[in-house]
Amino acid sequence: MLKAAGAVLVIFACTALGYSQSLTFQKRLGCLEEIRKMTILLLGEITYRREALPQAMERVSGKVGAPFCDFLKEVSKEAGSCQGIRFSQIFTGRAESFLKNSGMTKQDKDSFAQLGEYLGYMDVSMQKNTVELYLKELETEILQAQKEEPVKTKLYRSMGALGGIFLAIVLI
Amino acid sequence: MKKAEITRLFPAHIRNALEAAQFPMEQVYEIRLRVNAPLIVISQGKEYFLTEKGKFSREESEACFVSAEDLKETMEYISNYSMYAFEDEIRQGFITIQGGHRVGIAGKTVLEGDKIKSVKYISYINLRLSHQIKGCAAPLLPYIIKDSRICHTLIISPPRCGKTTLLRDLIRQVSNGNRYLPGVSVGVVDERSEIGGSYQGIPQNDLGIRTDVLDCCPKAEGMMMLIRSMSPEVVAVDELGDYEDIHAIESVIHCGCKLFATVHGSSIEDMKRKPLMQRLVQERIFERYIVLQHKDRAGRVRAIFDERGTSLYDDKRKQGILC
Repeated sequence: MLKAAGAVLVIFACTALGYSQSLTFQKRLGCLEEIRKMTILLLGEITYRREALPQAMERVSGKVGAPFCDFLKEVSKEAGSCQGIRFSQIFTGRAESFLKNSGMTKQDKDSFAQLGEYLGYMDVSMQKNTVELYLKELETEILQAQKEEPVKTKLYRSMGALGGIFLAIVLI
Repeated sequence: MKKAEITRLFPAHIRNALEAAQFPMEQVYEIRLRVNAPLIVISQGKEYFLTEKGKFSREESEACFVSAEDLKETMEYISNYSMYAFEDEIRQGFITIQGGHRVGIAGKTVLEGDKIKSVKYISYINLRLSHQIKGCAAPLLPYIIKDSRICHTLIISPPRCGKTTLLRDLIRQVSNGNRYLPGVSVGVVDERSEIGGSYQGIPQNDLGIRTDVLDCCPKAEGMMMLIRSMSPEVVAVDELGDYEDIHAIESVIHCGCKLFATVHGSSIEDMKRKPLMQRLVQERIFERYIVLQHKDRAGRVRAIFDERGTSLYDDKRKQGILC
């Protein structure tokens, strides 16, 4: 009886692990799509309104979902307080803390942090070129993730359940 | 002027030096940053090196040194992390920041055809602090008001002699009213945000209760716009220079408005030699010329002339008219 209960628990835990992995993958895709939206909106603020970055971020913060809404608000607040910290440092620091549990890969986070290096620097055409280049890379990542999503979701979930059954059999 | 308004523009070590400084910011006229060179502060017409401990020194070796990275960082803070938002200003070589302070820049110019597109590798920054000296134009009022009416006035001055400070107070006194005249409505075309020091459309300097400010607007267009929209009795502009400005002045004068303007120069003769100004002098458009000089301190009047060139005041004969 005890063995059966243990086996059920192992199967349940492994299945949950598989589900969680698939959710992380979906979360990553959601984040990448939200970053794309945020970047496009920021680009509009920069190229058309010529709004200063802290103000532009504040405006865009109301139009994007979590965690980017709070991320933008925090960066805008810190940049606006003029404490003698470079923008790239503010951006990277906040990105690290806000994207901790976003499901994004290290490479995703690095290229997002790199965007902060170039934001605000030089003229509008340079901003446009840099941001568009980032958007292109982001688009490739999103397409790749969208393509992989059904396969990977299915894979993680079935791997979790099957792994659980396998482990249960081995343990019994 | 708040000290923090200025110190926040600099990287940590310069910021610390300025914060530790004992001298009042009101006495500082310029802060000059040059790549791989000592930081220089111009205070009351004299040049000093600023030490890391915030003291004025004559010794170059004690000075706070400025690196290329410091300049890059300073530009980030000056532009509020948004260099692109100042693209047009950078092309002209200066940025006006909150408080009406002007940041002059130099570096490597980027050309598009034969026109300057931008400035990169900014290696020289000159922060010119805007000063508001209330009452400094009071001694001039009897000279520019004749038979209870304001005269068209041109302030002629070399750079750094206080022409904008004087113009600002003149606007304030005419707008608020003074012992010679009740207040009148004044329209200010503040092309470089230096007169009002506007931030997000709100002047940071006191320009008087009857003053309307058109901020960051080209002078020629702005003067006509103000006349059409705000019907000012006096129009004030800083630093005349283009053909369009001169053309707009004629329109202002023919609309019945009075004009206060400033121009770079050191005498009426200088004006006669400038092709653009020559005709205005010959046609006696301006009724008063106030010539400034940098003797002892900025904002000292050297002479005042009427439209015929007759001297109404001469600093050599009489002392201490202004400030």
